Amino acid sequence: MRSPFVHLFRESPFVKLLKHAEIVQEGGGLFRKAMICYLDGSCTEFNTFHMNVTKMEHEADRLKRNIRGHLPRGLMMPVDKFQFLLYLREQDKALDAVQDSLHWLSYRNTDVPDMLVDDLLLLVDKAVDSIKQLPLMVGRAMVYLRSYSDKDRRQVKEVIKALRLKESESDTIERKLKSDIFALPSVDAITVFHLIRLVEYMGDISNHAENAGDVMRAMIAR
Amino acid sequence: METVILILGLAVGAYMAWNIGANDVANGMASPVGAKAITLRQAVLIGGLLDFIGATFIGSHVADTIRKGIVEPSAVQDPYTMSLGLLAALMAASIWVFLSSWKQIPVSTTHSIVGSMVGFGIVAGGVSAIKWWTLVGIVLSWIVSPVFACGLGYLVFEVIRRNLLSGTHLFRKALRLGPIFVGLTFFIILTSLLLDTPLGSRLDFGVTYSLLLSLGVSILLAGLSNIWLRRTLKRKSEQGVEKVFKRLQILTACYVSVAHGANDVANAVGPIAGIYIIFATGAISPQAPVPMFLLAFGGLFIALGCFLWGHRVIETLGHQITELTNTRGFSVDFGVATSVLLASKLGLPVSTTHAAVGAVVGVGLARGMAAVDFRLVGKICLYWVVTLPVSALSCMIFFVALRAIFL
Repeated sequence: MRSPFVHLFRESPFVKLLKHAEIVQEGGGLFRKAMICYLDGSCTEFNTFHMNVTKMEHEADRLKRNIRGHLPRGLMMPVDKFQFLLYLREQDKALDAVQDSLHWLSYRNTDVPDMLVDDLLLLVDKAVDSIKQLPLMVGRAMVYLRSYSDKDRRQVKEVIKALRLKESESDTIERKLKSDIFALPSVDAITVFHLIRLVEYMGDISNHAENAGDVMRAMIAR
Repeated sequence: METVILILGLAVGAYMAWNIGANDVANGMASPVGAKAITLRQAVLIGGLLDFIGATFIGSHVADTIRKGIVEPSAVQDPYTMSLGLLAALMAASIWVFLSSWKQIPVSTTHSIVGSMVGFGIVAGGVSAIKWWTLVGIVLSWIVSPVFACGLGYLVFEVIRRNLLSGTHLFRKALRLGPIFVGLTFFIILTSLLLDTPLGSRLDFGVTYSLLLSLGVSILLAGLSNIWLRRTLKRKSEQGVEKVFKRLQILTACYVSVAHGANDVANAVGPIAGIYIIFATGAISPQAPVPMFLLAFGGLFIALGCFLWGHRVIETLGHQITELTNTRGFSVDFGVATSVLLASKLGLPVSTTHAAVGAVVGVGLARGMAAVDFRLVGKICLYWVVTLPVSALSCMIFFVALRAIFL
């Protein structure tokens, strides 16, 4: 076949981007289980969840490198390539933040005070909810970039708005937790340090998800 | 000996035409198949039949250019030498096309036949035998036609995107704008048919009347398409825009086939026409038109190539081009067909394939494509530069060999 069409059309990079988002979402699900296990003193499966998240993060990194490696200079896309790569970076960093949180937890078996448990679980939920928006956002963006309809564009913007809300709520809980940790009576400095950094890592998950949303907003700008 | 040359010419010409049908028809048909506007079977039928029609009724101009527009007839006095040269050109072009098909190199049949004719002219009559100004015009058209198709593809998709894909009441807008595109398409086809084709010469309407008649018929057909669209599309939805263009894409697929046949039949038939006229009259007759039965011969083998092999190529490409929706496919097809048909009217042999690449790039620039590899444009330009000397050189070798055998 000497048709140039054989070489002209390439697979949309958004297909792999969606796959990457799905891996990030799966990582989020495992993160929640890992946190519940850690907070429950009798659970022994924390290391298994931790290892699975690490594997998932490696898989996401491999896919990220594959996406980057298949975006040559001459490839024309409906969005700016630089913004696309920036989006990919932020989406990947969300899973990196999940992994960092679990790494941090694995360094020490901290006895988390009961008064902090509910807020920690709430923070986990906000982080996981943020991550869940990512494949939804990418999927809707793919639909919009085919149809260019106002309705589909609004649907993408709804998800971006939801991400901002989740990030804002996550920030609120993060600040409260930090305040409560510093106010804990009779707790050693290492425990305080461990918990504060943990809360910061968990807050980063929503931060990166929200950054991804901001870049997506720029990508679909008219 | 003349009979042998004619038979060889017909055989090689048939192979060239078959190759055009097998490979090049797919470039126009892949987009409606990929967008699911038509089935593979319909694509093969439309591609084959309408290519035949385009070749037979509109294809004479470009065939004439290939036959007498590149090499100065007065530079080669001996008709026997001329017929050998035309045969050598055909053989060289077909070998190059065969090699490029085998190695999957995006080479144009048009460029290879023009290059071969240049090679023959240089060997037979020297550098002065080539009509360099005509050649410059032809080469410029190779640059202009993809650029023009690119511009048209960009423009059409921008209009569609801004007016029909975003905003409100999209379906209603599509029903209003769709018939305008239909009318425009028919106007260009009818004008091409009525102005200076064998059919147009027989009818002899004159330029003004032909234009007015084309305009009138186009408006009527646009009106009919308006009724047809409103009747066949009952559900009003935002997805209806794509449905409207699904029907329009069937029309543009037909349009591309006609344009392709009109332009590309010359690659096979141009040299054969020269050989035949020498065989029939015993002299080199620049005034004699390309016989219609030869155009039909070329069209027939294009259709056969499409029926027997083209369906595989269409199917393969159709699977790859899944990102092409009906609106995009329509924009590409409209850009390709208009630029190729206009070039055919001017007697300029342009590459339908490269015009299609230009149109796709145009739609890509209008943010219509998920991922288009722009580097192919650079590769195609490189093959432009390579094809001319390679096919010229191989024609020179063939001509020298044929001269040694037959003279």
